[in-house]
Amino acid sequence: MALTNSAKRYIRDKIYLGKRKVRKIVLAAPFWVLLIGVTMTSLGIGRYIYLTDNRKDQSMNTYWEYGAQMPYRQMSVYARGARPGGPETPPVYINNTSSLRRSDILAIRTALQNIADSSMGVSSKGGLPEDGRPRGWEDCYSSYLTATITSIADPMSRTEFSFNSASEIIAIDGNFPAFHPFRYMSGGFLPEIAVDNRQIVLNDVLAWKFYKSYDVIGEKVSLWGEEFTIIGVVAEPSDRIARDAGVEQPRAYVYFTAMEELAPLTAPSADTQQNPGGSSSAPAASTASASDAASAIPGASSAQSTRPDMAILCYEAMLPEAVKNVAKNDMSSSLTNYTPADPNFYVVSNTGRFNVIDTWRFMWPIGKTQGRLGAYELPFWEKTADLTSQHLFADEILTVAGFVTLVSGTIMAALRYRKMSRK
Amino acid sequence: MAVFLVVLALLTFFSNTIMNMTIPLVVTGTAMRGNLSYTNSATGQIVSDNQIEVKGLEGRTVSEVLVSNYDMVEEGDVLMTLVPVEDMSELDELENQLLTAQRALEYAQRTPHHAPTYVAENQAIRTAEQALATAQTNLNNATTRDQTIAAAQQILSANQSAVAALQAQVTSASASVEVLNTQLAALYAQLAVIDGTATVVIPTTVPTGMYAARPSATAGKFDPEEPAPADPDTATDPNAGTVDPNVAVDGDPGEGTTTTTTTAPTTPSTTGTLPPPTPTSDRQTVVNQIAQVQGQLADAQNRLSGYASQLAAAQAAVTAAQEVITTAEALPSTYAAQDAVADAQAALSAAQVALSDAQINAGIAADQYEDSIEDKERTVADLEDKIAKTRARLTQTEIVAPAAGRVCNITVIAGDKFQAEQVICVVVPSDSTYSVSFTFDTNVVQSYQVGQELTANYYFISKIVITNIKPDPNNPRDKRIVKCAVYSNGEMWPGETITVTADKGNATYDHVVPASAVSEDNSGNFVFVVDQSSGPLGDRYVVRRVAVSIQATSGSFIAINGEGLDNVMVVTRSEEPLHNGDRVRLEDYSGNSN
Repeated sequence: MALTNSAKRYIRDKIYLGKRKVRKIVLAAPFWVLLIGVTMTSLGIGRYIYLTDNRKDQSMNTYWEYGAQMPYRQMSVYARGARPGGPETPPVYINNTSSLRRSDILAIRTALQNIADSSMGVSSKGGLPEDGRPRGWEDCYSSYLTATITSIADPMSRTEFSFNSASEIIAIDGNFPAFHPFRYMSGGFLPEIAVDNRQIVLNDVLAWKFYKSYDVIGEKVSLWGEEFTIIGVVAEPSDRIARDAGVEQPRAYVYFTAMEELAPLTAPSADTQQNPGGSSSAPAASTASASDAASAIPGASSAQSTRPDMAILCYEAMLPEAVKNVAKNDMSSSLTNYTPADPNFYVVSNTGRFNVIDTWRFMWPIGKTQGRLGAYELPFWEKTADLTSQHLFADEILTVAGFVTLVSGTIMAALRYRKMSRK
Repeated sequence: MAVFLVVLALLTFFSNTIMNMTIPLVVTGTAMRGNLSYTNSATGQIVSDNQIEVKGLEGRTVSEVLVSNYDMVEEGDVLMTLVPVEDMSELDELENQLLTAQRALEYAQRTPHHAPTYVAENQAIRTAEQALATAQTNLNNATTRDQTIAAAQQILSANQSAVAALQAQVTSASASVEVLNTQLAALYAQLAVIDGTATVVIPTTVPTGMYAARPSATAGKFDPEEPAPADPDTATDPNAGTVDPNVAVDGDPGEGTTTTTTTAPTTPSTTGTLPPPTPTSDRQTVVNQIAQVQGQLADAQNRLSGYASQLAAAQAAVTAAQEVITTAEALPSTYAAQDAVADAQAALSAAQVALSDAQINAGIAADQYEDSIEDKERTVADLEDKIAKTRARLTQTEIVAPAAGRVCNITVIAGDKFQAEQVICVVVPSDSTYSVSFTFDTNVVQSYQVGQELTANYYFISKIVITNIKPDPNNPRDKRIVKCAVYSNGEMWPGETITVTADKGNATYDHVVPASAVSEDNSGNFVFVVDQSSGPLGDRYVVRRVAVSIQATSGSFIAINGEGLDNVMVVTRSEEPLHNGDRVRLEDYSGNSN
């Protein structure tokens, strides 16, 4: 009995103490709510700043517009291509409603040059300058594929052994570094006007994999059966989001014309993969197979052509913007067969894409944009940007929630203060 | 207190960490003199050698573009449709202008326009010429006036005395004639008395005027068939009123006498009394005397006539000399005459200038008239042409392909408004050939020659052959334009740029940096140099943008040229893109960074 009574007393005491604790906690709730609100808001804003600051490749217009009399807007266009032999074959032109090829780039450049001349008040005969390069604005384009790169052994140098690496190949043309701020480990990037069509730039992952060093200027690697000279080693942004997007993988940059000329249109055979370097027969075989495949590939220009037109998967431009947001229309209007209601190209304004409104537009309705982007092969920088947008969306929700919590806590604190004042 | 110190330590730690996180890390190097291997390459645009430009209609709006770049079209295919024009006021305005211009032309053509005759100007010239001639004559006369007057006075003086003498002689001769007439009358009277005939009325006087005094030879002549006149010998008393034919009458010098002595003539006796009748022999004498007196009378009359003529001549000479003197004395002075000549010449020049001006003005007026007509005709023609074009421009609803081929360089989209002379696309015929022009340094081109092939790594290009080399008009000394024919494996796109490599070389440059050091923005190529400043909180590094030009590149290294590149820290690598004026940290190769 006594035991029963003591147990009841114990339980009653515990309940009492618990009630007191709960009461204490409840009385302290405004503080906790405020703390949580501040934390959430700070975290959201801090991450927002951090993430956007890490994506400088989305705001290269702020660097480009130095000395300019009007702001610039960085724009990107993503198109599609067909890979006749899988991911190790280059994307080829499908049709004019969803693909871009070099001739389309020429038309886009001409149209944009006319627009740029008009907006800058430049009197010109129309079209591009004689060197074919944009005047008063800038652009570049690229395609990507997977290929096996082999370091060429040279007993006279540090490369005593040959290594293979399945790497992502970015085939570029134009002023690519103006849009992609690499951290240079050595050397430089491919000049806009090619010094040598057989030059290559490795990323730090690939260079380290081959040579355990970044000081590899002048070394030779084999790609598509041809020797390429390394002229630079670059490191792409490697924050967590970028890593999630697959940045940290072996990668090399070559000229688009080199890809057009050399990339095989059929998946390389196992022999070629195992012995890709130093063999003069390799490119011939590639060319022959490409010729055979050409007729069956959409986008093949004519019977005379031995290779189809390569598809350009990403076109980027830095456009002057005399009136806010007009560059978006300029970019869209320069694309033949582009209709905003039924877009066959993914046109994105890099400038300002991380602001609150554009982030919500990108994410809302949830899954719609991502579903549309599934039709495109996006490069690592766009994947990174999209992932960043998703993170920013979460951060914005966090910030909004934190702000709401902060407001709620403030109201609760005010009410409690009022109650205590009455007592 | 302990809590405060902990917080302070944490803040100190994180502030340094945060600061380091916000300042980008850079690696610097020096732009050094070095040798750079490079490739001579150049970029050019592929140009169709016989493309056809399609121009838009100014002011019209594109409704729909029916083709896209590089579509194949046939001649006449619709390339794009245009928004119909509802407002035709532009055409109406032009037609009104045309009507006005046509009226103006018609009125101008109907306006009389005659060439001037210059009558007044020519008359003025003739008058001026006459005045000049007169003035010149006056000048000549004025110049010789003194001599003229002197000569006239000499004539005058010479003839005045002659006139007096001649007048005396004439008077004397007249008197002689008168006397002889009297004698003759007396003789006739004697003869009549002798013959017993009726009394003859004897004129007592005969005219003694210079010309009228001359007696009629017939009237005074003795006629033998007539009744015999009185014998002059008997009828005349040589001593008493008879005329001695051998003796000249005083004051009448007689035949052959030329003296002009002014001796007062003695008036012959003219008593008028006939001698008394004589016998027959006396009659004969009277007749003889009559004949003798008639002879003398004839002589006297001749002399009188001669003297009269001489007197008239002398008087005429005197009159003429007096007139000359009067005229000469009336002449102006030499200076005045010279002034008059100058004035006359000026007047003549002015008249000629006036004529010339009038002719020029008339010519100008004629030209202006013709020009005015031509202008109006041209205006009408231009307006007609403009109306035709405007009508076509306003009523046309389609732009069609001018030839078969591939459509390229479409520069318009639906909704665009055409500008004047805007090329909206080009059509490249299927059989078109292509060329491309590259600009090389002169020293690079020295080894080039027409027909030589250049290297281009493009899958669609089979061959690039040099067809022409010429100096670059913009820099003829240092640059050469190398024009090449491009042959392709497949198709080429006009406007596409290709890069060719010429040859490789190497050279030494003053400033060679890693290619990563050189960036590009809207203002051109540049590098960042690091400016260092020291302060109480340590060294501070700030980047400064320096514009550079690229001399050559090997891909991994670039030779640059710019101001202030010697012995400065050039940023060769950076964690992130930099702005001008950014603060940076320098890479510490010991593993730490400051």
